[in-house]
Amino acid sequence: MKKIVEQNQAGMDESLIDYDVLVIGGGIAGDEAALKLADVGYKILIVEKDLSIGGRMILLSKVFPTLDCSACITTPKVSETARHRNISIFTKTEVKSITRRQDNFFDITILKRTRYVLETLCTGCKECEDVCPILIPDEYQYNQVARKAVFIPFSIAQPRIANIDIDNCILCGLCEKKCPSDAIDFTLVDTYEHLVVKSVVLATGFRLFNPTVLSRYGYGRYKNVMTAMEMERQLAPTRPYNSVLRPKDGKMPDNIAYLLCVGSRDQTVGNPICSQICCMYSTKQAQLLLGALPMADVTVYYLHVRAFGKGFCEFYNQALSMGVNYIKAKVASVREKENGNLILRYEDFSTGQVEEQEHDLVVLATGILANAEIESVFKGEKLELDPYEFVRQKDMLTNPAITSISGVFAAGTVTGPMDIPDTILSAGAAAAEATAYLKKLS
Amino acid sequence: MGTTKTTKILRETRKPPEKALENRKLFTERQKLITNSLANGLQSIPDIAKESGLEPEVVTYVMMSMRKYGEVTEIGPDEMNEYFLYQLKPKNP
Ligand SMILES: Cc1cc2nc3c(=O)[nH]c(=O)nc-3n(C[C@H](O)[C@H](O)[C@H](O)COP(=O)(O)OP(=O)(O)OC[C@H]3O[C@@H](n4cnc5c(N)ncnc54)[C@H](O)[C@@H]3O)c2cc1C
Ligand code: SF4
Ligand code: SF4
Repeated sequence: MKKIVEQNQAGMDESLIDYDVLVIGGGIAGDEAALKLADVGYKILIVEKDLSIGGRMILLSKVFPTLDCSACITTPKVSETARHRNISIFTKTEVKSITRRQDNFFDITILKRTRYVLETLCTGCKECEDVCPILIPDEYQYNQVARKAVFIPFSIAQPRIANIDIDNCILCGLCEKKCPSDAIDFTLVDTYEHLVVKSVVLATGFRLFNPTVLSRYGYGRYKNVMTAMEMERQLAPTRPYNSVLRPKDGKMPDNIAYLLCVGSRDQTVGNPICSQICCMYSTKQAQLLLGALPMADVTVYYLHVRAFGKGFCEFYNQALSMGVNYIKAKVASVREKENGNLILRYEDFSTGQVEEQEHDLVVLATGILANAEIESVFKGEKLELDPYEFVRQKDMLTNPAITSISGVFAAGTVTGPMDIPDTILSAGAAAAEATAYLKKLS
Repeated sequence: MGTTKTTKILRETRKPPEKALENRKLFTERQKLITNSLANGLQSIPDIAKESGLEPEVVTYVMMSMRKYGEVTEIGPDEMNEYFLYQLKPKNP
């Protein structure tokens, strides 16, 4: 690993340093923070546990409130991140421990999991994928279609390098035989590495609520009950099907229901807070569905519509004017008819009556949950979390990027639910705080 | 290119997982049933389900996977504008 040699003014031994900043998580928050820090000359390492950077955003269809194509915005950003001379990226890699040293730098242990593919040789040609005989659910399409055991996660993956899912590989050898670059190597193994960095930015993002917990909505049991993330994929240009279709029988839906606040603002599932984005992404998807299926009706069952951001109220009004039907109601249950249609039983708040309504597809706007897994990697110092397990901001109003550990900053949804514009702002704040910290160190 | 040298080395210490072998068998069987059904001409997902005895959601998943890997293509909606019709794609010479 290339070391930056020189003693800094404070007499710290800079020759120990591998990178100025370790950014954990390569979603849009991590990429943005890394770019801002790299632009001012710091050496950055992004550690991403997935096969590609870009996080959740790279898999979205379009974005509210502008309806810009998400891939078209994310692709230049992730390419810039990957090409930047001051940024290195390790994918399929996890941080195992972070320990403060006596000199105030951080000792880092990372685990690089092997792809069984030599990253410098793979050209992303996909010839291996063509010959692999194994087909298993594709997690990047939220299991709506299959992928091979050797695969490139998606067409705009960054880096575009194949990966072998060894747990589903039957070791037939066809991919190794076919690869024109001799990139496949089954003797590769996982490796631990040790690094020294000056500062850390946490950008590990969020988890989504698992709707099988609320069995009354039938997710997992009724195939025509799906999540909004599954619908994002159906609406994306690189969608799993040829059109928006019901997973149960391939019918083009024409009467779609959205249920908001599934797993948000719900004490019974331990998540009493608002997820901040579901009202707007559902409003977005409703508009996109009316574009994709001009004859369809879309009904949104909501508790409150929270359209608080810039342009959000206008975006909501646009949905109303396009004919999206909003019903203020609490949905009690969903049951399936023999033809796969679904009956929603709900209390209509405008009348106080319990009503039933039939739809042919139900989309659950599942909430945002904290991804608290990073807490356990800190040794000797405690990364404090808030009551909902998001990283606690030491001073949310005046220093939102500062965590309970000096030199460790937080960017994006690791601190709480937020949309992309707020994530970008948060990442900028983390980069600014990290810059100020590094300046003080030197 | 052309060797399976490193596959053989890993095979010495690692057996192909049973689950993966079973999945492969099941997927191939289902693929065959769908291919046979489509050999009779244009079909919708419910048509194939009826003819093959597979659950419609299984047909959706397997046939959309076949479509992804270039074996099947859609030609447009049926008369009622409810379901797409699909056909086998001719194999590349
Ligand atoms: C269905 C849906 C639709 C949406 N639509 C919109 C929209 O239209 N407009 C909008 O503004 N917002 C939208 N959003 C919100 C948007 O997705 C988020 O604001 C954005 O993705 C947050 O970025 P992030 O980088 O904070 O987190 P993430 O996107 O979650 O990225 C976090 C990254 O960190 C990685 N990571 C996690 N743990 C570790 C670890 N331990 N070590 C290393 N890496 C790790 C993850 O693999 C991931 O790559 C939508 C969200 C959903 C669920
Ligand atoms: S591993 Fe080989 S065959 Fe597969 S994408 Fe990379 S270069 Fe192509
Ligand atoms: S060795 Fe594994 S990954 Fe490669 S073609 Fe065979 S099953 Fe697929």
